[in-house]
Amino acid sequence: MFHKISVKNLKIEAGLNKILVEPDLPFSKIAIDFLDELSISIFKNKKLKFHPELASYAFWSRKGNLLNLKKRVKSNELKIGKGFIFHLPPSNVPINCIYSFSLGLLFGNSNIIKVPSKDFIIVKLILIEIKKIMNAKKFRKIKVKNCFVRYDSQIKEITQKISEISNVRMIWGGNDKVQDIKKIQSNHSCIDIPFYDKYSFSVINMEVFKKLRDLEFKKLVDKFYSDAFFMDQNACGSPHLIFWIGKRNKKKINKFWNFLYEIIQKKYNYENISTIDKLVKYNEDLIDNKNIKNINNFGNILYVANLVRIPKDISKQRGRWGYFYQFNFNKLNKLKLFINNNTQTMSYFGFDRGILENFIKKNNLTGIDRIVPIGKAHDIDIIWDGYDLSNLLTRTIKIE
Amino acid sequence: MKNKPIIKNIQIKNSYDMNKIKKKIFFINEINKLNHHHFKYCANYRKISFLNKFKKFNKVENFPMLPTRLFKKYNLKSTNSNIVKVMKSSGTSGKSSKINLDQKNAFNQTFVLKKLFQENFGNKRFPMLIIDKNIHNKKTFDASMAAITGFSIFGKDHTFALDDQGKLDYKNIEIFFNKNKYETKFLFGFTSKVYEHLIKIFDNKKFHLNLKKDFLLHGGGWKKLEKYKISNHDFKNLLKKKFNIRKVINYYGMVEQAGSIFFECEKNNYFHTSNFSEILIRDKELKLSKKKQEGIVQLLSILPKSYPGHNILTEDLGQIIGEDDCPCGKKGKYFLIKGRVKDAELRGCSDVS
Repeated sequence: MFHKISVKNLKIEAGLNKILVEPDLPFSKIAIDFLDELSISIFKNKKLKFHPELASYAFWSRKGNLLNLKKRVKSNELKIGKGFIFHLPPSNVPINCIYSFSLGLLFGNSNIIKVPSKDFIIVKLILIEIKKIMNAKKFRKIKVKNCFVRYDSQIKEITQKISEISNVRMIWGGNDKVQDIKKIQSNHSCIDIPFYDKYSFSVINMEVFKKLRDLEFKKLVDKFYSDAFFMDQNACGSPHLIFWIGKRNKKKINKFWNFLYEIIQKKYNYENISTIDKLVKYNEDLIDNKNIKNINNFGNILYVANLVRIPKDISKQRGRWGYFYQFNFNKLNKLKLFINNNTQTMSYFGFDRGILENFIKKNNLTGIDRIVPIGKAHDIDIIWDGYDLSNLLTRTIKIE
Repeated sequence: MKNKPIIKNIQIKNSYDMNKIKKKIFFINEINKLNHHHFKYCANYRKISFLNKFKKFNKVENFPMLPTRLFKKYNLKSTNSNIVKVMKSSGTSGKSSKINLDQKNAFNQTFVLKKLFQENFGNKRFPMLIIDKNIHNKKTFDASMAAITGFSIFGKDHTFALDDQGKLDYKNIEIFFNKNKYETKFLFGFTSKVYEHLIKIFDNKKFHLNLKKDFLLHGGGWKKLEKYKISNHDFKNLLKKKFNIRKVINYYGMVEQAGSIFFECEKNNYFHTSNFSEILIRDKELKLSKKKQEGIVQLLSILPKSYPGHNILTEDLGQIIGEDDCPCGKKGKYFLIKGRVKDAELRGCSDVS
């Protein structure tokens, strides 16, 4: 079956406007080969490989990793791609549209991907590569099954037209965008996978932390830096708050922030506006935020607000460009009161898997989708935001 | 008038006569007093600046400054007197600032503006042509109206160059010029409006405008003109070519510090601080920038008393060229404004479109 997309004001960036829908089994050879080829082309291209986001994508999409993923999702059920997937990635995380596409492809689907309307250089560069690879004879099937498009989000008719023929809509964005898209009617068979506004934080086990040797200590802070400052602390997995669990050791905690401050000075590329934003936020917190005891200011580029209590909705304690909150609990279990539907990632240090598992099992939590070591807050996976995409992007066929 | 200016100890003839050392002592003293005043009368300022206890500073650069954006979010007030006027910024992007003025503060602003204007342009009232619509027909009181009203006191026979549809009113302009043939005329307008209407649209065939003996004062920023890529220098040249005007003066000021504004000197086109105002340039860690280095503009003024606007961090970029030694003879710092701080390219998942 073919879907023909013929609407005005729609620009095809890669692929064709006649899209073949012919589901494959998950992790087909051609899908893996295609993504691997893309990965190789990124590593080969000087212009591309120095973008950290593209480099980590290329690392993720290399054959070795994809085969690992394949092993992980192997099940006894018979699964096949759901059909036609409409990807609506966020307009301000450039690389996300490529991940979203890759997941759709890996699970055996045809895909239409709306690329951000803004001209991100990395999107431009990677589309050139995708186009090139698509044009190879051996990837003809990929070309006829996948299409990257660009159009103005205000033109609801286009979203509507595509929604009418979609089996899945992957809606990445803020709550408002998710609501807007949901209002646009889709095919009766279509399921929506909403990725909405989320809040993330870190937990550090004080007992383990305080015994860290210098090198390990530095490694940990460096990992926290990568988590926090990737996307300027503005991605859904970015930590905004650290819960120090156990007996508080003020000296060690200060050492953590002081070293983070050093790393920021060395590595972080920030602009005037981020400094002003943080100063504004600092003042707003001093005026308005009743949960704050005081705020430590490290050279006007790193702020750490000490909370006296955790408000019911912690998701308001949100910083950007290097603005954090911290609080001390004697036990991990105390966190449960503050976790809600919007909580995404709890990145941790110094806890055993058993303790973390028990924390989830015992507390009837409505939130937390990911529990990952500090340093992996943004690693994309087939399980994301609490969804197992290996199930949602496929049909499971009962056969007896 | 019953009111007396707050600036008792500078009953001055010349508002541009304080050298570096004098000014430093004067400002440390004045700003410490103002800090104490706002600390006492403005609860939010108290929270922002010193947390619990009041502290004196002995360096101008160490005084706590307020980012101007706070005036958009909070109603900041440091007086128990009646608020006689609330000034609002034009707010080109989103919310506008609110500035609370009591009688005394309003008086001081006018007093200082008058002093600065007269020292730059002379003591009399000039026939005034305003490159704008008639503000009396506007419904809201915004920054543009505040500026027009503020400068109107230096004019007479106030005439608006644009009709209510915002088009050039040649007939009105002609009447104005015929009536005031032999006097020096004062033209006033926003930089963008002057550009749009006088430089771009005005047709000398419809009415030949010769401004040889007149002067133009304009301000309000270059933001709207960015797309035309026009420099201050070109701006002046185009006006000179078209209307034969010799004296075109740009001014720089903030609604948060109305009154103590900065006029450009005629000789070198640098903005000048006066005895009432001070400028500092900060880098992206808010450290003081070295001389001539471009950075974020911080402005101090000794006027704001009914609201804590005496020490603000703007979102403009600027560059200090020198101090006390401008060939024009004025003491104090002279500087250039280099546009707005670049907006952030927002990255992240909380998406809007």
